[in-house]
Amino acid sequence: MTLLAVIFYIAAAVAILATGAVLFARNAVNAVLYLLVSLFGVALMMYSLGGAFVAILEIIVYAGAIVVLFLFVIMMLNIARIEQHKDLQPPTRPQLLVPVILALVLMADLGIAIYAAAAGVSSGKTITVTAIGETLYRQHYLGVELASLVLLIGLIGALHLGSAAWFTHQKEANQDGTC
Amino acid sequence: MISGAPVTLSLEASVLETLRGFYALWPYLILVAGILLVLVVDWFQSSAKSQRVSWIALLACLGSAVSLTKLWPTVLDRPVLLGWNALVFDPFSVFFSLFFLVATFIVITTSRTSKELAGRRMGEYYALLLTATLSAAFLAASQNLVLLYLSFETLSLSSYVLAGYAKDRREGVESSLKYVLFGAVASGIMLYGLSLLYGMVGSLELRDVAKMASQPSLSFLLVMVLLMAGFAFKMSAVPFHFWAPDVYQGAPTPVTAYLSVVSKAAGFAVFLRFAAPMLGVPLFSQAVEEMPKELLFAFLSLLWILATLTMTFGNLVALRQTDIKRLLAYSSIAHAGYMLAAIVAHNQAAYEAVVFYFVAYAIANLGLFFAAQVIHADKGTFDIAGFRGLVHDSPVLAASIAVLLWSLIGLPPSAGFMGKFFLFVALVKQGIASSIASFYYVLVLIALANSVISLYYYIGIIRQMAFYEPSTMLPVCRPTFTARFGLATAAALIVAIQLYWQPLTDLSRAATGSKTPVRAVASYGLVNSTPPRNLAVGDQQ
Repeated sequence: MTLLAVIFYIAAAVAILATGAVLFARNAVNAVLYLLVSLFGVALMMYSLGGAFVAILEIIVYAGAIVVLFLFVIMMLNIARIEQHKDLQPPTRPQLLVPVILALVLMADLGIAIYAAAAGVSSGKTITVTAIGETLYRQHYLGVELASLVLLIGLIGALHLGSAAWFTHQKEANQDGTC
Repeated sequence: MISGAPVTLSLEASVLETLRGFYALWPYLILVAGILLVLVVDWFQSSAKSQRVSWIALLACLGSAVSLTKLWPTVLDRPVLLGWNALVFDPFSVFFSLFFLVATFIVITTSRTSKELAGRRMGEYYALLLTATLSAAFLAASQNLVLLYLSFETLSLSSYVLAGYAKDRREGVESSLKYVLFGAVASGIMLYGLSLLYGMVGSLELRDVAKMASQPSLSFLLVMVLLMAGFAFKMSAVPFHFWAPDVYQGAPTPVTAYLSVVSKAAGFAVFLRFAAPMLGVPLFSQAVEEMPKELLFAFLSLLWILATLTMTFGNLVALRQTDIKRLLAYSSIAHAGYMLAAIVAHNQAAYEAVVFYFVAYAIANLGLFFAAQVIHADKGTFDIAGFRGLVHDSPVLAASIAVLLWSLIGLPPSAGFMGKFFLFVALVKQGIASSIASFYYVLVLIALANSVISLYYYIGIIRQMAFYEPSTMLPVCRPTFTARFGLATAAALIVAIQLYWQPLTDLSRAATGSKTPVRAVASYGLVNSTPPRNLAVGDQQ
């Protein structure tokens, strides 16, 4: 087993465990933080396969933007009820054990990766930004266009489901309207 | 640059190649323009006049359909491949696109008069409807796993929002949520299958996938099972049917009609295309690969069991329904079962039969959901009690509903009968040719038995309409002239197809390509017929 394979399997194990922890987390904030760990694990997996750029994207886009945004949303939604949440008391030691171990393993894995990079071990098949751009915008340009449509309807759907003014207007209409 | 890839084209030439293929994309670009226009114009309308934008949606459908009919002779001559084999426009996909557009057109017209949607902002609604149609058309045309999944997901996402469009209605929101949860699981399983498939094949193209089928492997069967989860979800086939009754009941009725016709047809279309080379049906450009006997039989058995379970379950549960939308939901599950049964026959006749059946099914289902909507508008209920004594309220309405139900049973004289007839003929044909004849004959018998079961609940509605006095508790149903005219047209079409089915059989034959041998495939957006190799881990710099 090469060094990169070791990195891959450790990262994969961490990602799977963290994703499992997402499902069993007692409150939403913890779940999101586990998700963050899981995404870092996936990023390392990508890196060990030679997709350094994809790994960076994974961290910047998913961990950096989406999950943090998610965290903000949860914090904003729960702000009134925070006192009632017993779960949000400072965690006990055994509760801390899982995230700490996961994070430590991931850090060790990252250490191995850095060591491997310093020692010049590489998979010899790094996928560059150019290659990704070429594939996306030449071969899969229709897919990219369709993805933009997915984003558009995501936006429309969120707009529709989230518009409060419309909701009250509709309530009034419904009271005298349907039988 | 990726080595070994024939990307030798200059940027300019590559753009030109792409543009040249765009004439096949015109119909879809019109739809996209429609989506954007609907959204923008809706901003400038007051809530009360929001329904106006439906005209734009109708025009977009019409324009798209017209340009598709112009494309039809071209693709009949030779299919067009677009975007490095990502999309193929052959009669099959163009037929299904047209089918989706016509169905969407009807759904938009019924949405305009729907009381469930009255007083709402409709811009988003029509934009989502058109997006769903576009992605359904792409789903039927996709030749590439990425595009297949993307259009699958676009269709699902827009359907989720459409199902819960009336978000102040509890059941609407509930149904939408159920739909999302089921859809997420199904597409997750499917995505897992797709990634396994990519790992095995090393290519995203369906024709390479088909080549893989010729090598016997158990993991390939596993992939097929995983992918079936996604397809079965869209077809609402057992065991991925659980969402259907709740969503059909909770969604606004025009959306229900849309889901039962377009969404289901898209699921079947993509499955038919995906499975064609493996089942030995030469669907246009695809090469037929001999699947090893055992693997083919295993796959067919899977379909066999799925078909049997789907139709039996759908029909048995439908017997006990009292809500018309739920009843039609279970009936549509049963119909998915019949069509799956035809696919077991895995011959050209089966493909034609499914296409034919879908037209008959679509007319009946669109009509019946519209009838349910009309009755609900006056009586305020979707209960079958609302149908009681309908013949006294409006003879035309009652008679039309009776004809449509008759067609769903599959009794002559109706299009449904011809559809079922062709399905069974396909199975019997295969049975005669095959060494395991009983495998097919038993399926025919099960389907026949199921038709008899379905007789009971369909006739039950006709009986309610004809032989009972209208309930005095409910107001009288007074459908508008347009509603009666529309339903009578649907009923007339159903009978007309029975009397003169030749055009439709010709069309289904042309759509599945048994008449037109493919001389050449026009490919645009690619230099050699081989695309650049996919970005795999093994690619050297």
